[in-house]
Amino acid sequence: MQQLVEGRLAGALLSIQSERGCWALPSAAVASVEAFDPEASEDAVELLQLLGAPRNGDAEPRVLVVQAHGERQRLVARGALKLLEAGSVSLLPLPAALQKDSPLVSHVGVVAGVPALFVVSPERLLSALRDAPSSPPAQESVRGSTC
Amino acid sequence: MLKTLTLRSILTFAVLDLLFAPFVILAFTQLLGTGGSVDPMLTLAGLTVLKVAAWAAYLSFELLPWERFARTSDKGRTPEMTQRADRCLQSLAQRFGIFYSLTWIATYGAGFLIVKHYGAEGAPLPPQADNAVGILCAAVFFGGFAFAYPLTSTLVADAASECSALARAGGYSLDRVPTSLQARIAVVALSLGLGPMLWMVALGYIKQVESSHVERVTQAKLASSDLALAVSGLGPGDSLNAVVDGFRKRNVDALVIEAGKPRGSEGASRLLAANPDLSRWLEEATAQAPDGVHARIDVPEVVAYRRLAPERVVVAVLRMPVSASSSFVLSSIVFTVLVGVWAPVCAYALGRAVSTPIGRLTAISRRIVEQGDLKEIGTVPVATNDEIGVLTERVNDVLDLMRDVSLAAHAIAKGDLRAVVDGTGELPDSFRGMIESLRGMVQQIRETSIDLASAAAEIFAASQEQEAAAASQSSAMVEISRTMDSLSESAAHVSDAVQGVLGNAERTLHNTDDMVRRIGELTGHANRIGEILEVIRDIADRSDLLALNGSLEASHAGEGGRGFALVASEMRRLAERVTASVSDVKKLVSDIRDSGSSTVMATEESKKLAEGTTDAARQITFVTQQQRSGTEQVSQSIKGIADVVSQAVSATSQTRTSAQGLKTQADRLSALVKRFELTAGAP
Repeated sequence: MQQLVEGRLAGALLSIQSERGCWALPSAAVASVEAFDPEASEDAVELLQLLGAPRNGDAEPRVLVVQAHGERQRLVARGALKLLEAGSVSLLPLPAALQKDSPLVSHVGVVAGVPALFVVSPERLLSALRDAPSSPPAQESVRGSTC
Repeated sequence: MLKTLTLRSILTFAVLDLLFAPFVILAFTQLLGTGGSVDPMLTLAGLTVLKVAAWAAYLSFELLPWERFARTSDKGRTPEMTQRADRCLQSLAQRFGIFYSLTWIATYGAGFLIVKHYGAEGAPLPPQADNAVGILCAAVFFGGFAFAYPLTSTLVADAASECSALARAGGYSLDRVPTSLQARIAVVALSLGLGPMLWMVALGYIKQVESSHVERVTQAKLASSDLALAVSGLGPGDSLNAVVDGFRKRNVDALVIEAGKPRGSEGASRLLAANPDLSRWLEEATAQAPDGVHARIDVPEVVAYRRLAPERVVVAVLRMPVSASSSFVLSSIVFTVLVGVWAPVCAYALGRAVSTPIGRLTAISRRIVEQGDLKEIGTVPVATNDEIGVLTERVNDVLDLMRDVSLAAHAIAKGDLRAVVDGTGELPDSFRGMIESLRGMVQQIRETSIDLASAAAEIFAASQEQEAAAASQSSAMVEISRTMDSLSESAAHVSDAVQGVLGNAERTLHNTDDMVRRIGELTGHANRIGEILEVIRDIADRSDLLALNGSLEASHAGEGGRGFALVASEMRRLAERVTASVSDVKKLVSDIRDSGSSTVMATEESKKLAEGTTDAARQITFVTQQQRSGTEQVSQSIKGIADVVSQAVSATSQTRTSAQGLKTQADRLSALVKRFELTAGAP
């Protein structure tokens, strides 16, 4: 896994722009991006719903193959996908006060001095999926910021 | 039966006639000296019946116009008929009076002649009986006239009054001959005076004759006595002639009859010889009585004898006709003349006493009727307290009432309605009622005139406003008429335009169909483009995905994948551009499709609109045509209304003029009634 160095992105981030916020995953954790096929993506989990964000109905869905610690999970990402270059985003750890409410978010990404995205920890994500694979929490626990 | 005037009159005169007839017959026969004989009475009674029949027939004939008038209904009574009836009534008293009197003369004249010529020999009439009967006839004439004339006037008075009333009601005059009450009174008075007087004259005349007859019989007896003495005193040698001559001087013819042989006056001998009846009487009487007289009132000789011896009789024949005293005759004549003069004078005086106040009242009435000037009349003097005096007093009362009424009327004419008329009766009551009604009417007129003036002013103002409104309405109607004309022209233009619109709509419809067809083709192309774009998008999407994966791999590769990352990012950028272009093109195609759909819809709408326009145009054309005709009708009606409004304007102008005139009249009326004074101190 790429190392996340505080203040600077060690590797690229794959951002997912939704209506209510911008989420990102380290690109290293994303094995591939596939086209969404409703029949073949029955096991895919809605990423944004998992993050507690409302579903972005208008966006083109993609299936992200996220891997971490040898685990692979297919996540449906509904939003514009963008690969952010390393060094373009400054990472700040999520304050402890918000950590409880957003357990899957590890950092806040700052672009041009403005908090622009929430960085999701793939490990926590897969762990959460492993622990509760049936359905993501109904309530939104992490509010992202606009990118 | 007594309904007719003729019958009433006949019965009245007949009753009176037959009532007086016995007395007159008795007096007449007594006058003639035939009172003891029944024949003259019966003769006169029969003649009286004939007399009654004669004058009854005459009366019936004279009253025929009246009876004809009386039998006619009111509607059929013409003025000529009324005048004829009145004429017969007016002259009836005089004519019937004369005729009635003449019947009396005829009756007793005829009776006298019958008695005279066919009467008994034992009732001779003196020669003077003719004169006496003549006087008696004059007496019955005047007496009958004095009785018949006023009685007839009384009997026909009601009938004549009816004719007068009818003529007055009919408005025509009866043209009565003026008569004089004074003359009538004089005639009646004269008749009343002369009638009885002449009767008494006749009676006195006959009595005078009878007296002379008695006197001559006495003289004859005396003469016979004297003759007997004279003859007895004759000696044997004395001549009888001397005695005869002596008696002859006394108008006595002396005769001595001895042994049937008369000696003495030859006149007496001739008389005896000429009258065998006288000789026979003498012979019989001398045998029966020593003396006797034979006298007939109608014979001038009176024969008286005296028997001296059985064979010796002296006869004295007095030749003295009966006669009336000349002084009596003269007195009668004088008295008759006196009565003839005195009666008219008395009648004149009586007539004057009656007719003068009546004439005065008549003159006053004439002055009132013809001139109506009560001031000059004054009070009529009252001389007596009889009917004339009472009438005059009442006339004075009427004059006073008329003066009061005249004064009141004069005051009313000047406008003073406070006038008061005293007195009771229909005229004062009516006049007071008239004044009261006049006061009420004037008061009402006064109030009404005020209201009328106010109403007239309002009407005048309203009529002025109405006139102005009517004038403006007339102008508006003219404008409307012009507008309708222009509307009609516009409708024609609209019709023409609509025809053009209809053509255009039809062409539009045709073009719309064509357009729809072309748009359909365009939509098909757009759909095809959409399909192609979908393919391109899919390719772009795959490219983007591929590029993204490439970038991911490049990021996984680290530094070694930098070049690949660049390519991937470029590829991704390209894919994004393609995707964006595809999106744009899709959007354009969608827009085109939408536009096409919209256009189709619009075209459909346009088609519908065109169809609707066509229908509407057709309807508009139809309606426009109807509107044209209707507009023309309305235009004509508007013209008619404009004419009516013009007439209304002129009528309103006339109304205004009339209202103005009415106001003027109301003001004048108000000024007129202001003249009247209704109560004291009130205007």
